[in-house]
Formats: sequence, structure tokens, C-alpha cells
Amino acid sequence: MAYGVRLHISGPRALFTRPEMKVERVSYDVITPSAVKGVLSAIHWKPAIAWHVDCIRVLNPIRFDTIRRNEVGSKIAPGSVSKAMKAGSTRGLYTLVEEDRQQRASVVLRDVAYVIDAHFSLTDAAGPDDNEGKHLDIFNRRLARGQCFQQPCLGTREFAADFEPAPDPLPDPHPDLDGQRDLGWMLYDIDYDRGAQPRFFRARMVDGVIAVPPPDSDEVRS
Amino acid sequence: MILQELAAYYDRRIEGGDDTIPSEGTSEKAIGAAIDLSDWQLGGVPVIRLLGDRSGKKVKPLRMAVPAEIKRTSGVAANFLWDKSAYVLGVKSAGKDPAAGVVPADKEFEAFRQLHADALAGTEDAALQALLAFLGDWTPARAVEAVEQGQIPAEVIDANLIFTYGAGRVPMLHMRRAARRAWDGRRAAVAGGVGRCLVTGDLAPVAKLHPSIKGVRGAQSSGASLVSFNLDAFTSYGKSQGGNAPVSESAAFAYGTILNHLLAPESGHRVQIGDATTVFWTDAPKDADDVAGRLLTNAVSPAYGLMDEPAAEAEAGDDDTPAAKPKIDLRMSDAEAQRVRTALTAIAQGRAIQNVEPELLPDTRLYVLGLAPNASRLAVRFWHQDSLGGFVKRLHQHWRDLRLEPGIDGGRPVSIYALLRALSPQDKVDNLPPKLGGDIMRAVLNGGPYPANMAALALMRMRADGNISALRVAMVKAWLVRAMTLSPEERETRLVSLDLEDKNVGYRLGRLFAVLENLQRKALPGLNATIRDRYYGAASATPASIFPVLIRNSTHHAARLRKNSGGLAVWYDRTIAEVIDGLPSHLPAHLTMDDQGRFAIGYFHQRQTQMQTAPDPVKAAETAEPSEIDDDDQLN
Repeated sequence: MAYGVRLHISGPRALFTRPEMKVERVSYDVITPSAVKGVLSAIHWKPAIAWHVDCIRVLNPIRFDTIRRNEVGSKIAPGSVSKAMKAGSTRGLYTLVEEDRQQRASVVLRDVAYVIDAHFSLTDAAGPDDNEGKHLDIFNRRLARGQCFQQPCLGTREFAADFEPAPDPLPDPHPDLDGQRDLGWMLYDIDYDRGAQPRFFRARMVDGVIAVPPPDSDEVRS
Repeated sequence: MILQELAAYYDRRIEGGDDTIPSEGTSEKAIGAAIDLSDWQLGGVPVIRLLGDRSGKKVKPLRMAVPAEIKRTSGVAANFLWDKSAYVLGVKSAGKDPAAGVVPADKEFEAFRQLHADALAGTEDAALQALLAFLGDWTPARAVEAVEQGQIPAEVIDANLIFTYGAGRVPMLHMRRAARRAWDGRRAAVAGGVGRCLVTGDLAPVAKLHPSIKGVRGAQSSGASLVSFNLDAFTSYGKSQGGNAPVSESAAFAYGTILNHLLAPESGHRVQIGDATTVFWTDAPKDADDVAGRLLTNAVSPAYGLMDEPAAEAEAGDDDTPAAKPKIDLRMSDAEAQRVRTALTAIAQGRAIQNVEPELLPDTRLYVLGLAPNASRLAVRFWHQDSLGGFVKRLHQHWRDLRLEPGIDGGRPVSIYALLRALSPQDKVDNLPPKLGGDIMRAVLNGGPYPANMAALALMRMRADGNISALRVAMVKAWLVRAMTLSPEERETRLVSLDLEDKNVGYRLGRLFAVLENLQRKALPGLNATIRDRYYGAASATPASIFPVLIRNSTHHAARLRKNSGGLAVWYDRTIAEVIDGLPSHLPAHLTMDDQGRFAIGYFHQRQTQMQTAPDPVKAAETAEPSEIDDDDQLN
């Protein structure tokens, strides 16, 4: 992996929402490749590069906790926004949270820590100024300094992620994670070029390590 | 994860030849009557036969597998080849009162007729042709007339009806091959768009609406959805309904059916923990699976009134207020109950599962799912997978962490329900914070720390009603030892019985308080309120302001006791001196929750030990004046 990076991300709580339980949210057992890409892009991203996740190492045992939060039940419709734009006035364009309350339960992960192997490739948007070495240096520098465009998160915005270069040697995964575990069909990413089509892959964890298939492999299905 | 395991469980049961579970595309419904179309003539009224056992006072309807029920929320939608009388005959009762008579149901009958006209168009089957002819000819107005003239029995109104034709081997229309084929084609035609199923990974028609799950306490009795998108804030990427979470029709049917089966009251796999309705299942063959379910549900909650029955009786005897007994559901024979009781006692003693129940293997996978209602939907409270052996080990660990000397209820394992009840105001588990039961259950399942509010509530209840019961102290102790991260050997012995060496200020003060209380009782027998009733709360929270007063008063108690029995007074003097010896010279103004917990434990240990080891005069005094022991002590 010539342009590979390795980083350690962790946090006290995480919520990688499963699509089938996204209303009363239940988290996946581990971070999804899609969430990893979000973390990487928050640290460094340009239109010229595309991130690919190679491997997820789970360090901590998988523990859950339940919380309930007060949220809202409706979104402001795009139609009413464009109407307001046409009229040049925001009258009537609001949500009264007190009248639109929805209490929702979430089953979240506790005390997560992962070591991520990923690499990037140059996209069609790469110009003559772009080369792999430059972007690799930028990423590693930003990672070591703790710089990011926005604070990366573990699944949802309210669970912030801490990130740092991966320790060397890598810590051993917790003994609870030994053995092989089938994690079922997991979200790989969302293909925005084809109408926000979700793509899934069968996640298997062997001794805490999940190998993520490349995006064009047969294992990734939409 | 959850849906995958449920669907896999459904497949295992079906492949294991379990015929109590409906197969795909069918539902089991109570059928009230059959309409026989064999001799029906245009313009006539068909023969209607009542079904089910009508010999008793209450009619036992006939349960039968029929083409899968559609999900009807508020609109009009017909089922295939069966439905309520409003759909099948176009007649329904006018109101709740049977005397109100019947009214025509034009919309419903039209929906039923239209569905069958579409689905069965061009059929060559004589029976189905007869049905189409009947539906084309019949009108709701005629149905009302027929009911009023007694040609249609009143019992069929609002009951589910099916059709029969001829007296052959399959008189039921919905069981005929042509009908089944038409129904399969129909289902494929109305199914949603094809998508990647999240459960199976196959490309298959995606379920638009997911099945209703019945039997979760507190949810709507008609059922609530585990997977639903009922408000637009819950949808993403412009997708609607089930498109947000592509699950194939067949996987949705499988998980819904098996979850409803597990949640049925008599399934033996279901138990209520706080507000979480919990189901257990394993990957063992059916019989072993049922044994495991029965064992585990009883370990957690006295669903069958098994483990806690004697305790409930004891409490009812001690207390004037009738204890809120759990609803006892005795579907087990005495022999089965005895077997479960023996098995649980063996687990509490640390025996491995295969030695307790030879049918069960330690590496059998165990699944635990806790569901709770939340605003017309169902939320997952907890979800746990483990090996059976691992679970039994953790259950044993939980009981060991609760251990106090002398044992609670003579060393019998206590259910989680009993713990919750000991924490609840007015003995009603409903008064507890909703999440608590699930949180305790989670701690038992994964061996992690107990929720802090379990200990906080126990301390609060002790302060509020002054009942320092063994169960409450045990919970505080269990919370403390799990929070201390000790080695297993240390955990085995720590805080179990009186520790004369323990220098913790909370623990010492608790012991001192017990001695002072006992001295007061000896000196002034027959008091209505002892220092425990007056000062327990303050002494355990702000000792610096209370203990000086208590100690000052105790000199008067000691003086009085000295007049009556000198030896006893000397013994108290010595004990008090010994306990105070380990205390710092300045008492703390406040005790933290940790130390308040130790205060309760110290108090409990000292009081227990005093009853067993105090010199003879003390014992004699105890036995001579049984009336002075509080009724609510429950010291056994």
C-alpha cells in the first residue's frame, strides 16, 4: 500500500446506525467503512483524492448502552424552502420543536477504539499540481498535529471522535474479540453517482480484524 | 444482527419440522364460520356453517392457516379468500351493542370483490368461478336482509369467514392449488421494488411495511412495528417506507412471525424485566431450546412465580401492606418446576450448564433481545449474544457478587425481578425509572459494572423507609465490588461478612451506628422509634453533625443498662471502643455515595453479627423480648 495511512480513532460513545433500525436507533457492532471515510475526509480531503478503507482493527470489546433523547418528528420540506426563496421572505418557514417532539431511544456503543488502514487514489479532478506524495504528507502532518476541517465523529455528530497516528507496535485486540464473528450485511457506502444507492458488504471479523473489500469487488453489492 | 438472527431462528424451527409456526405467505387466524358455495344459486343465500368448539360457554374459535393477513391500519383493504363479515358478506354490526343491529358495509365488500375479480380473473377452477359468480351477484343490502330474516346466523357478524366448495379432500377455497397459485402471483405482483435484502443479501422484493409485533408490554395491543418510518424526519435520501431499510418480504415475514411466536404469553421464552419485554432463544434443537428458555426466563424473573414465591409469602407475612405479588402463571407441572428450581440452585453454586441440564451444551449460542415500546414503535432495550456456558457463568458471577453472610433467603438465587421490587417505592416495579431493569439486565449479561442508580436507589429507599433489608444491602455491595475492579478471589470475600479490620470510615460508622442502636434497644426496651428510625438518613449522609449527639445519648443508655445488667453494659462499652478506635479523630461532614454504601453494609454486617455472636446476656435479651425486633427487619 504505497499511499496508505494508519490512524487510531477512539471515543467514549459511538452510534453507527443500522438502516433497518434507524428510527429507534441501534448501532452496528463496529464502525462502518462509510463512517471511516467520514473521519478521514474530516482530517484531509480534496476533490482530487478519494479515500478507500482497507482494514478495520477493533481494539475494545463491543459493549452497548441505551440512551433516550428528545428529537423532532419532521423536516422542513424542500418545497417550502424554495417557496420562501421565491417570495423573498422566511415567513412560515420554521419548526416549533416543543410541538414536534419525538422521544427516540438509541442503543449506542461504549468506549470504542479502532485502528484503521486506508489509502487514497487520485480522481479525475486531480490537476497537474496534485501528486500522491503531496497529499500523503499533508494528511500525515495534519493527523500528527490533530488538525481537521471539522471534528470527525463516530457515526453521528454528537459523538466526537479522537484521532491520532496509530501506535507502534499495534495494541493487541481485547481477548473478547478472539475467534471469528459474522457481523451480517453492513453498509459499505452510498453511491451518490447512482441516485444515493446504498451498497452493502458481508462483514466478518477475525480476531478483531475486519478486512474491507475494495469498492469494485464482487463482495460489495448494491 | 437482530433481524438476521431472528430470521435464522425461524428457518431452524421450520427446517426442524415445527408445525406450530406458520409457513411463509400464511397467517394463523381464528375462523368463525365457513360459507359453502357448492349449492349456491344466483340470487340465493349461501349455506353458512359455524366453526369452532361451541359446546362451552365461551366459543373456542377454530385456528387455521390462511393467506397472509395484510397490514390494515385505518383504510379499507381486503384479505384474500377470507376476512371479516364486513368484507366477505358486506355486513357489520352497527355499534358495540349487539342490539343495535347490522348495517351494510359497501366499501369493504367492494374492496373484497375487486381484489378477487383482479386476482382470480380467467380462473378455470370451478370453485373459484363459483366464488366470482357469488361476489358478482351478492350485495350488502341483501346481506342485511338475510341477517334480519335469520338466513345468516348472527354469530358470523364481525367474525372471520372462509369459503368452502364441495365435500372433497380440500373443501377450503384458500387451500386449493389454483387459489394458492393465484395468491403467489398476486403477492409477487404487488411486492415493492427489488432491492438488496439487508438480512439475506439477496436481490428480492423489498417489504414496504414490516409486520406488527404483538406482545410487548405497554405497546398497542394490536401490535407495533420494530422497523417503521412513520414520520418524515426518520427517512433519508428521499426514500419512503421500507425503502429506507431494504429487507425482503420473506425475511420480514420470517423475523416477524418468529418474534411474535417468542412473544406469545405461553411461549416460555418471554419474560418482563422492568419495562423491557425480553425474549431468549438459542441455536439448539427445539426441545433443548425450550428447556433453555424455561430455565433462563425463570432465572431472570418469576414468570411462573417459582423462585420468589416463598419470599413473597414471607414479605406478605411480615408486612401489613399486601405485597404486590407477581402475576403467577403456572403452566409448568410440579415436576418441571422442581427441575427448574434444582437447576437454578445448581447454577448459583457454580456448576457448569452441561452438568445441570445434560441436554444443554455450553457452546450453544444464546440470544437475548429486550424490547420496549416507544411512541407507537418498538425500541431495542438490549441485545446480547453469548454462549450458554458463558451466560451461566455470568449469572453465577452475578449471584456471587450479591452474596452476603448470612445469605439472602437462605442462599437461594434471587431473580432480577426481586431486586427491582426491593428498590421500588410502594413495592410497585412500575414506579422505578424505566431504564433501570434493562440496565441491570445488561450488567448481568455482560458482567460489567452495575448501573450507579441501582445503588443510589437502594440507598435512597433505605433512608426513606428505614428498611435496611438484605436485598438492598446486597445490591449496594454488588455495585461496590464490581466497581472496585478486583481479582476474582478478592471479589469472592470482599464485603461479604463482618470485617473487623476494615478501616473505611463509612463502614466503621455503619458498624458504630448498629451498636448504638442496639444499646438503645437494650436500655429502653419497647421504644416506638429507635435512633435508626430517627437518624439513619442523616447519620449515613452527614455523620459529623449526628454522631456526636448519638454518642452523647448513648452514655445515658449505657448508664441505664448498667443498673440492670452490668455485664451487658461492659460488653457494649468494649465494642463501641473497639469500633471507634478505627475512626479518624475528625468525622467527615459528608459521606460520598461509595461511603454511604459502605455505611449500609457495615450497619448490616454488625447487626447480623451481633445477633449471632454477642455474649449470652445479649442473646438472652433478644430471645426474651422478641417484640422489640422490628417487623420489617427481615434478617433471615
